[in-house]
Amino acid sequence: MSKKNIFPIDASQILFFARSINEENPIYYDVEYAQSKGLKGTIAPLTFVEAYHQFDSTYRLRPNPDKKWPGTPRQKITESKKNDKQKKKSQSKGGTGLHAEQHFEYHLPVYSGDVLHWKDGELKSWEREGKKGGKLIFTEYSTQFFNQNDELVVTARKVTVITEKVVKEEDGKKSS
Amino acid sequence: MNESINSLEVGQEFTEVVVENLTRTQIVQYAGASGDFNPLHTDEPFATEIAGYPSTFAHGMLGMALTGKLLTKLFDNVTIKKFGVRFQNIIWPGDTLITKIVIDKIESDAESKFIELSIHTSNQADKIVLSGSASIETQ
Repeated sequence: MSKKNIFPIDASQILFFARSINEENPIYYDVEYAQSKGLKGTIAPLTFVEAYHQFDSTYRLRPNPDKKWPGTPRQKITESKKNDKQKKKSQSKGGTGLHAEQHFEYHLPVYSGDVLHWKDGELKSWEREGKKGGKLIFTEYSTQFFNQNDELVVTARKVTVITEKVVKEEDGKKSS
Repeated sequence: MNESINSLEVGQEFTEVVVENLTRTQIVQYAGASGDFNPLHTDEPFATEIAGYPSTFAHGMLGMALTGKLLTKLFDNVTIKKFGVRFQNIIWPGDTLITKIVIDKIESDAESKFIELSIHTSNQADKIVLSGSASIETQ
């Protein structure tokens, strides 16, 4: 196995993730408690494997020293700069990328101390006209996560949508 | 609840507030924990002045993770075999989210019990932000 696509499951990262969702169940941070519940150790929350992006060298939604990040200045953004940025944005991406669906299949528990690796499946893509958001471009990604014993632990399937226009609250699928 | 799994009935509902008055800080906290720093979630001037949204907003995955808390409160993590959602409306700072889980189907064989659930999470205005399902298998 190459060093690529390695996702070490670290107790601290599980703790930080649990805190970020106000999850107070000690099975996520107290080893003795988790063991008293019949678990091998602290366990990953249900959606935790999504944090594999932390270890994905190609991930775009994290500032990278080699790439320009779309930060904003202290002062109010002027109209001309705003137009420039919007123009660049529309040229580069064509709209806002949002998360439409997410599905997990759990095959085995993921514990702190496990070292996962992942394999990306084939991409699928399709388009349709949105009710108010112009053209919608959907992409489906599937990812399989294996533990250090090469056992399949989680299968994840994600559908993203790129909208031509800013999504209004009542439009339907949105949220990235 | 796991000890009373045998008393579950089809149609039974469980409801819980999974976050109250969601803060921008919590959204940023989730960004740090998940690794998704999309400026739509983390940079207010970007979200409003560049992208044209009324404010930053939560990751859909934060809504799913918050929803999952009720699932794991009701069922042991290791018994949950599937969990999937469609994101239906944006989750904004200030939102209070309420998750409702309904028991749709219960089946048993000699060794296991299989439970199908439907899941909806709504905001304080009763608008569904995500909906989905989960499957449970207990030995």
